[in-house]
Amino acid sequence: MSDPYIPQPGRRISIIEMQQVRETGKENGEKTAPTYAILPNGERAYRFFWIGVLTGTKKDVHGSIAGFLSDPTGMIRMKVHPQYQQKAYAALSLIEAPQFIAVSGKLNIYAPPDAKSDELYISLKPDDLAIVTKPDRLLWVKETLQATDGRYRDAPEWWTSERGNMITLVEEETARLAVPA
Amino acid sequence: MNDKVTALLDTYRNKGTEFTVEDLDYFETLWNRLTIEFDVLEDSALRSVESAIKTRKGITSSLPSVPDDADDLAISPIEKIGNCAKMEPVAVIAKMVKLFPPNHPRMAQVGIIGDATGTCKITTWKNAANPEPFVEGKCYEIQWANVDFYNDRVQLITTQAEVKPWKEDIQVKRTDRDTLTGFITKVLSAGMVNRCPVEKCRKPLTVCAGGYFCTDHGVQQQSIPDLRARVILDGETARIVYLNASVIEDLTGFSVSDAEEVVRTQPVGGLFAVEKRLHDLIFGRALMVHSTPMNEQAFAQDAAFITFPEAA
Repeated sequence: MSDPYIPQPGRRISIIEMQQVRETGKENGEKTAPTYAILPNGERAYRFFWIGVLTGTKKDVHGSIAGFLSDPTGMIRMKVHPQYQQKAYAALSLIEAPQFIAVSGKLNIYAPPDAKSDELYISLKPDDLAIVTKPDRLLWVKETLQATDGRYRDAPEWWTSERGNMITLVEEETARLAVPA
Repeated sequence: MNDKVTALLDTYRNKGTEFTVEDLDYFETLWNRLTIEFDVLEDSALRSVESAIKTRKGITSSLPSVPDDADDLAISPIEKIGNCAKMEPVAVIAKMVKLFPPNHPRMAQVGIIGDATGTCKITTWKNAANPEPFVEGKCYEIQWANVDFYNDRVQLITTQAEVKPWKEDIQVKRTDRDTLTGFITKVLSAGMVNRCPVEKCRKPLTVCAGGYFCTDHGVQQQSIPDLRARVILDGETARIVYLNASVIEDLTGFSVSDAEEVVRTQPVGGLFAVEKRLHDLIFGRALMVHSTPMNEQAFAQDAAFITFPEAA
C-alpha cells in the first residue's frame, strides 16, 4: 500500500451549530472533489457524526424519506433518497421513530432561487445510519460539548444560550446513575 | 571507452572480477547504443551497464563482502536490535520469536527476531552462507548480519551472516499495544469471508467454477467460514481498525455459527443480511480497542463498548 487511505475524522457538531453554517465549498474546481461545509469559526468540515433522537419520518412524493432529528439544541431535517443514499435509505426505512440513532454524513444547504429573504434550508445528507444505545448518545453529547467549546474562544450567543441544555442532560443522567437503585 | 564506464569497470576489477575482450566490447557497445542511439541520460545508462556487468559476470549481490577470516574478525560490541540505525553489518544476540511462511520462492526463512530492546524482521535467502535453519523459540548469536530498512522499519538480512546457537534464554521486549477510543463512524466492510483450508494459509477465497479459488493454492472444494469487519474508529484521530471473528463475538455475541445460520435460513441475500446485522450492531457505538499496528491499520486484540459514565 503506497498511498494508504487516511480517513477524515467526523466532526461532532450540535444541531444549533449546523444551523449557523452558511456556505459549502469544494476543494478544487473538479466535479468529483469532496465538498465541505464552512463552520461559523471558519474551519472546514468534510464529514459530520451526530447522535440524537429520530423523532419521526415522512415519505415524500418523490420516493425519498425525510427524517426529523432532535438533540438538546434544536431540530433538523435529513433527507434520504433511494438512489443516492441507498445504505441510509435501507436503514431508515426499517427504523420506527422515536429512536436513538447515529448518523454520519454531510450538510446540505439549499437556497430557494425565488426567496425574498436570505433564508437557507439546512439539512443532513447521511451516508450511513443505525440505531444506537442511550450511553452512546450521552458520550456523544459530552464529546460534542468539549469539541464545540474548543472551537470558540469567545462563545457566540447562539452557543451560550443552548449549551446549558446539553450540560443539563449529561448532569441529570450522571446524577440518576450515581443514586443506587 | 567512456571515462565513467572505465571507472566502473575498475571498481569491479579491484574487487577481483576479470573482464575479457568480448566483455569490454559488449559493455562499450551497450553504452554507445544507450547514450547515442537511444539518447539515454548518462546516469541511467551507467546503471544499465552496471546491471549488465552483474548478470554477465554472475555477481549476485552488492552487499559488503565478508572478510575470509571472519571468524577472527567478529564484530564487537554486540548491537541491540532497538539501536540499529545504519545500513551496515552488525552482530546481535537475539531470540527467534516467530517464523512465517516465506512469500518468495528464493526466500529460505522469514521471521521476527527480538531482544530486550525491540523486535525486527529477519530474512534468510536460499543462497545464504549459513545452511542451518532457524528454529522458533531458540536463541542465536548472529555475526555479520546486514541491517536494511523497509518503510523506516529495521530488518536483518542474514545472507552473509555467521550464526551460532546461544545457550542462555533472552528476554524479548513485548510490542506495545495501543489503546484507541472513539465512535465507529463508518463500516468499510463487514461480513463473512471464505478462507483457504490449507494449513497456515487463511487467504480469503473467491467463488469460481467448481469451487473456491485461492491465489496460492488454486481451486479448493472446501472453505473455512470467517467473520471480519473493517471500520473507521473516530476519536482524536480517525483510524482504520480491523476486527476479527473472536473480537466481534466478544463484543456483540454474534459468532461465526450465528452468521452461518443466517445464511442457511435466507437463501437469497443471506450474506447481505449478515453484513446488515453486523453493521447495525456496531455502527455509531463508542468503542475502546487494544490494538497492534498492521500496515497503516490497527488490528484489534480485544475491544469493548464504552458505557456511560465512563469507567475511571
